[in-house]
Amino acid sequence: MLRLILRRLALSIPLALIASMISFVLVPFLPGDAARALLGPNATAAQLAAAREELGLNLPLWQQYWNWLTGALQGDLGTSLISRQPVTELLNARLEPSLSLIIGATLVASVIGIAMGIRAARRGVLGRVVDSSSILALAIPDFWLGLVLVVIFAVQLQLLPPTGYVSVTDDPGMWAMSLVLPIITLSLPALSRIAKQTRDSMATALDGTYVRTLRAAAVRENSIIYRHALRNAAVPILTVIGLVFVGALGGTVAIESIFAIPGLGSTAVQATASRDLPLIQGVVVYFTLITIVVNLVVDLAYGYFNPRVRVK
Amino acid sequence: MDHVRASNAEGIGSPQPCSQQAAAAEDAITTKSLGSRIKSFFASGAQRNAGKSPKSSVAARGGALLAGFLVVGVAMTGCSGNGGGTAATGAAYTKDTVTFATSVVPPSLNPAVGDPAYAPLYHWAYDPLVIMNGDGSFSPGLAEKFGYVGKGNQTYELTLREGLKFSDGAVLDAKALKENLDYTRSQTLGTATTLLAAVKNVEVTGQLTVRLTLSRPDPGLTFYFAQAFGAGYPISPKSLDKPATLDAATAGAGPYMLDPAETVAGDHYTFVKNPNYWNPERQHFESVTVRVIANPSSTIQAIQAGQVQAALGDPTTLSAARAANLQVVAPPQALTGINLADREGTKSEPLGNVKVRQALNMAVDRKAIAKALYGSEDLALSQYALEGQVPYSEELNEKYPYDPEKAKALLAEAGYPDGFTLPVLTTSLASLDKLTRAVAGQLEQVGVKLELTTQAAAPDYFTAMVSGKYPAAVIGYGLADMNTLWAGFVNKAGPFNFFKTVDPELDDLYNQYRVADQEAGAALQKKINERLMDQAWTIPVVGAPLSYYIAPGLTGFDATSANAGVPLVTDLRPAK
Repeated sequence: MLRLILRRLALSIPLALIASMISFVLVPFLPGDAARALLGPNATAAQLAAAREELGLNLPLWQQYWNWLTGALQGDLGTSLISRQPVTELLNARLEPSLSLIIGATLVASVIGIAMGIRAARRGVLGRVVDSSSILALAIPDFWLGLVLVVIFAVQLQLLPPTGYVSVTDDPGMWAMSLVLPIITLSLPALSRIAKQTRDSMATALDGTYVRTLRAAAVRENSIIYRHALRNAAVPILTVIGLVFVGALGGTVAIESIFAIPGLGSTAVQATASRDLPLIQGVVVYFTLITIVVNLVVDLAYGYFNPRVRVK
Repeated sequence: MDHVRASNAEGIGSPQPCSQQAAAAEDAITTKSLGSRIKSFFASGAQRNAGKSPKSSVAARGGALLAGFLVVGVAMTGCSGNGGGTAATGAAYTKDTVTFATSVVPPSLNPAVGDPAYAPLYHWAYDPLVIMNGDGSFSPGLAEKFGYVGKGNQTYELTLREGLKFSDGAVLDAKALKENLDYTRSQTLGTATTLLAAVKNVEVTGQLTVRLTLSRPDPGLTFYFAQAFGAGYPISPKSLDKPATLDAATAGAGPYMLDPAETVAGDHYTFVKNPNYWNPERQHFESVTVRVIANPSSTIQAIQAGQVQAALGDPTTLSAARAANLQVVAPPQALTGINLADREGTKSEPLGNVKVRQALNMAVDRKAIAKALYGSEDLALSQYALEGQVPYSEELNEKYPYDPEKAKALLAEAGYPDGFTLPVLTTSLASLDKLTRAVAGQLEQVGVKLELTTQAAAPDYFTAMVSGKYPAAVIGYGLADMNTLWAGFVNKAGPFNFFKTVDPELDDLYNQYRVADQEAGAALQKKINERLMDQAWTIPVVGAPLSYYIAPGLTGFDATSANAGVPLVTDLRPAK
């Protein structure tokens, strides 16, 4: 187990390096730069040149990357060109909202999705309802759903705040309240994917000969489903949950905009719009690390549910 | 001091009664019971379904919920007159805190390196030196007296009020003001540096008076010092010694100061009362929060839910804000249209002919576009100034009336009877792409086909624009006077004059205007406007509004075209 973790962590270093290199190389292909973003349309050529000099944008790209990399290897992701704040400090402040949102949405989607999937695998009307509602949930655009939920629950019923995020350390109650609508919005499409995968995996598992044997041995149905079939069906479901988590990283961009949550997604958009290269790099590193950790957790979970994976 | 505008008025933000008195937006989360809210919501759903006979109670509830979704979906897009929520009748806003929402905040809170776009954040902590009122007149801000000395607009004096202090306790006197102006002029970033480029020297001439000597005539200083631009927002000298502290803290002489402990940069900024403020009557609230909400629809919803009380609006949500019963202050502020920049015909030969440019001006039905895009024909714009501004001339509105037949004839006269194809750069910023498409549709009627290239992000659009690849580009340019129009548009170094057109007659008019006194200057500004119209430098189409939304029960935003659509945000106060 430890070897698996160490090997995965060792692999993550070149992965993060490649990801950072790709984004560093691609960003300059975009027109405009941070100096233009800072000075606006009325800046003269002389002002732009002075700002580029001050921001270090005149250095060759490889040198900019090398400067960034040497700092990054020592845990210093540099300073934002626009806000002039340390990138690590800036992103750490935005990590909590994004992780609260993504973990919350993944948990909600997993619990409800698996429950629905299991119920649907037992066929009948509910199975068909789950199938059709899955497609419907996937078809609803998240930004639209978010705005509608706000109108109902914040504007009309006034049960929940329409926008904003409160840190869990400031007020746990308000933290939970501020996350309800964003989590519902983010989890709905994920929920349907998990439900569908669970239904298919469980249907296959329940068709297995061992299930027939268990039933013949008068084992209780709940035990068959939860202790035997679900365990066998777990690997593909876990894969989807892992993908859902990673996909939610991208999904936060729209959700954070609608609900005015200061997270990594909205920071990524702002950084790209203003060509703030160190901040873009920082977001890439954070996203890469989160993805690596999630994949590692999923791999470890495979081992828990399926001993054959552990042996391998 | 020749024509210093002195005043014994109370100064900053003399209350301007708002015509729209309305009720308080109480935070209904605390005022209504959960049960009654749910009951009233479903009751409204039931009313919508009245007269129908649902097959089952489950179906009925499902139908009501679905109907609810559809109805609110429509309301959200601004097509419904029912905004719902808290916009009801009642008393004035009574809470001692207020929340203002904006979609943009500066990377640094230091106003000397900032941009006027961030004025709604700066104002809380930094008072400007001068106030520009809704009627275009100037009032004292922190400066009690201000204006040019002698003739020629090359010497300017500012005299501060007595007894001013910064939030950190430092004294604001002439010496501190000089330090500020020198600091601002020495920056490489920020708009204020550009605005004060003509200032050669700042000299302390009295305890409270500084004299600015200019290297060239510049008639715009009073406007630059007012709230729209805020050049030279005084900052405490204690902080000027360590300017990095100004990125995430404030040290101004405004009514409030930032509370860093209650602030998360990029999300919300909390301001508390400045104990040293010179006029406590202007501190209408105990604390103020500025929240960042990037999504315009979310902003309206936040006001409806009572979470936010006032906000910077957005052109795309004007109708929705009105439908939600919010007070909407939306004065026309920017010239939007098509900038026919290649006036020598370098990239597009037809544009080199003034008759072609004039013909294009006659082929556009501005009122129809203004109505379609902003819901009001009144926003149609056909010149380089807005009603209420000094260079505005009523007669110029008739110079290029909508007349496609005459446009065709003029095109034929210029040698293009079958029209031509014109590459045009556009952007989705501020919905300018919609305006471009509307213009394209109308120009097609006279045979001119626009070949559109759209750049979504601001840096991409500006970079493509100044590249000189496109002979014409959509333009959005804030209008105030002919001096500010020079900086980015008429000046051959200006980014919106990207083919670097030089018109000797225009230059001559500008040279006269720069040294003229106020009266002669006004006449010359009108002549400049006329000249630009004669030469048809652009196709002005709509005076795009700069908008503010205010919850019922509050008032105070004195924003008109005359003061560039920028109120002193700290005038926000409970309606009486």
